[in-house]
Amino acid sequence: MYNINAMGILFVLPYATWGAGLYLGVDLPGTMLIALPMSIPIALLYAYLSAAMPRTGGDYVWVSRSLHPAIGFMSNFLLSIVLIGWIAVEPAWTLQWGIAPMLQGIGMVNGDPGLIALATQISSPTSVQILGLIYFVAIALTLVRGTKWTFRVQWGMFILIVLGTLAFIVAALPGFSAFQQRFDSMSGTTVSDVINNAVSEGFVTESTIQATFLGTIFSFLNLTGYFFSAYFAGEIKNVQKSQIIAVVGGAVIFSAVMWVCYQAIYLGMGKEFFGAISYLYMTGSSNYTLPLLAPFPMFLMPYMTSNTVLIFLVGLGFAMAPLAAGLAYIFLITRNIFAWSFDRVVPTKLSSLDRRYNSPYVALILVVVLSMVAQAVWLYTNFLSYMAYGITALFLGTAITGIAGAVFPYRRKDIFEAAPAAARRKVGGIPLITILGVLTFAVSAFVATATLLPAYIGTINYNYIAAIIVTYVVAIAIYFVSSSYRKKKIPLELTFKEIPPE
Amino acid sequence: MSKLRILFVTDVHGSERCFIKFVNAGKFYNANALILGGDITGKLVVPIVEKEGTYVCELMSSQQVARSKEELAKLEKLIRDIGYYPYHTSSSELETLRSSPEKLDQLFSKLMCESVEKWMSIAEERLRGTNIECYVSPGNDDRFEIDSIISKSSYVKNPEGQLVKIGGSHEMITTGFTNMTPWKCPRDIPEDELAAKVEALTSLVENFETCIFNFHCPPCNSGLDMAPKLDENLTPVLGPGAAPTMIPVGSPSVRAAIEKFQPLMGLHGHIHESRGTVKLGKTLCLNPGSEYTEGILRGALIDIDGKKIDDFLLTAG
Repeated sequence: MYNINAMGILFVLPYATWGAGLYLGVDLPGTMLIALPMSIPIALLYAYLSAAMPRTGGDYVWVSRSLHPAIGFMSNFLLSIVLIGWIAVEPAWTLQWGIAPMLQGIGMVNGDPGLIALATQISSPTSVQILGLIYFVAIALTLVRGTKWTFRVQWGMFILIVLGTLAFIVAALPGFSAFQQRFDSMSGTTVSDVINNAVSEGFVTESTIQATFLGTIFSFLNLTGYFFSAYFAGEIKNVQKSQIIAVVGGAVIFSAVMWVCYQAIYLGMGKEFFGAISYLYMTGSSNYTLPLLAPFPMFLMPYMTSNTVLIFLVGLGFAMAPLAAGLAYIFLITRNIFAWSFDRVVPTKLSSLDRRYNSPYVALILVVVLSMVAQAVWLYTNFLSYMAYGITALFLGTAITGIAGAVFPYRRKDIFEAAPAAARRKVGGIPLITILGVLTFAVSAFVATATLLPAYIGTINYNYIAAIIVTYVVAIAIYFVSSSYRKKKIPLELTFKEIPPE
Repeated sequence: MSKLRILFVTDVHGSERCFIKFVNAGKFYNANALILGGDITGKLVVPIVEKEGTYVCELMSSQQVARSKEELAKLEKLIRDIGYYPYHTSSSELETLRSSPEKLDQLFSKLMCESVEKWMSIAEERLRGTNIECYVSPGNDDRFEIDSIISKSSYVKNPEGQLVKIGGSHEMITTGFTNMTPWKCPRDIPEDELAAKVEALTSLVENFETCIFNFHCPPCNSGLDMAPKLDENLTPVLGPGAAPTMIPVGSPSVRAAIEKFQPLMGLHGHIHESRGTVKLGKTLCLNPGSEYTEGILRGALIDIDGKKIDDFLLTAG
């Protein structure tokens, strides 16, 4: 559930528009058939590493032990920074892509201009910031009460998100003809005009394998988060079994749900129309005339159904998805900081625990404050655009974990030999974990490269790439400043250094 | 008062790999004193049965087969490294042992004592002439038979129930007894008895400012004593997201003594998953946790300069 919340089931809706608009000829359900096998090696690697080294901190611990603590810290630090950048945006997604289309949709169906106007008002930066502040305080109050409370809240959100997903599928069931009739009468344009305009501007209606393969990138990115439970493996019982279920099971279930959602989009709006409207929107065409912020499926709900309960549930479900994902991210980051603090890379004060609930409250306060600052920076400056390649950074992190996993059985023979049998399995004399490490590296390198391609984000912006490098440099600097300070005392390098066992 | 570097580890639970690392850690970390704070013995005997030239055993729910003497030696080492005691037997003897808990218990005691004797010899051999002090005390899981074996060692000191001076300067009082656990281990005692033991030990101390409390049981509700809540079948109670419900299980008496006397440092173990450090008033309390099943020696490396702790680091060596 945690991993599925981290991935955000209903995020599939905007991802579908982006994928369909950017990769001409993509078959969205088909992308899942490629994305799922790609995710499995990473899922298994994270599950096995977490079974072999079931400690809080995830790749920080694994990479530190297999390669070098500085590399482990660097990779984990960047992941945490990227996630803080994403958290900053979550309240905006809730309001602008969840609540606003819900109000607008109900307003359109009921002919209530007041609701439509309200949808615009609540999308303002001030509203977003107010929701953000309330959200971050609520998160702090939830997380400070410990894992149990956090998961209770997560379950509550999960149920609402699942209800929203089901409502979307139900809304799509009447099919394309019903949609076409409603769209043609309500939108001021017609389905045929949208498709014809898009085709005249270069849109292709036929699916191709190449486009589907490239379009997989968005489906794969939507899967980001399926291995996040590995970052608090130290807090999970029966970690070997639990992680396989959570990480591998999470990826499989989520992929199946995404496949169903993609099919529902095609069923409810037609593949050609959805591709065409997405294309017109993504290319900034003047032929995109809908009175909607974007042709994301949740915005298109009033053309699919007149049932306000379904529109409400989809809007509420989507509104919950970013909030649940943000909660999952903050939970993960506090665990990372806790692990760094334990090893004294950062001040030990950051691993102080709340006496009553045993939660790392100082780390939590720090993350919540940083999230509030990041949100303000995102709302009022362009600075966070420098983290546009955050997803690239994230997959650079999994690539580093892939290398760590590949060499783990050889560099840390002691831990490998004492690991549970499943993690020690060999295929043709080669440790399975090594094979998974190599595959993880290959998949991650492919995804990281694909996210830099013009098709994904437009022209490559070298400043954005520099932002990743700078973050790595900052992490390395923190590590070595801390390390050199401690050289006069107990050297930091001793934290993970193996004592001769013979 | 001179500077001291201490390595404190705990809960190796029979892992020979961890014990050898502990002995080697003195030179590795440049430490003046090594302290192993309890729960040093294993929990299981692993019978190895010879069958038609092969050696078969059940280890961690899977069958292991050694097909040569070399493979057998490797298998025995793996069993010892995990913290169990390998035992060569026949199918018929195995049946007898399975049907007689008393005989099995005697065998376990014998193998456990042999293992502790071997460990003491290893420590004597490797540490003699190094000037590295070595203290090994029993914990609540350890049977009483091992006390005399440790005490007989010509190098290792058993500080249980005593006051010793580390580096000739810092007093240390030690007890491996803990409050009651659901498993009713050999040194589990009621809280009031533990309080009496702690009081008797503190009465020996001359200078609390430089004193070390080496109490296997962590102070109650300190964050160093969070263990999974168990149901009536001793199964962890899981909360949402498969996370076990954690509750404090440490000793109120230990906490009260630390708060009252404010020693320099409290060294604790017992709860493997509660690795951490916490300040109770002026006292730094540490629980290095345990990862013995993975062959990793978790430790706390502490630099002491007279009345103050100069630095510390939790290690995973």
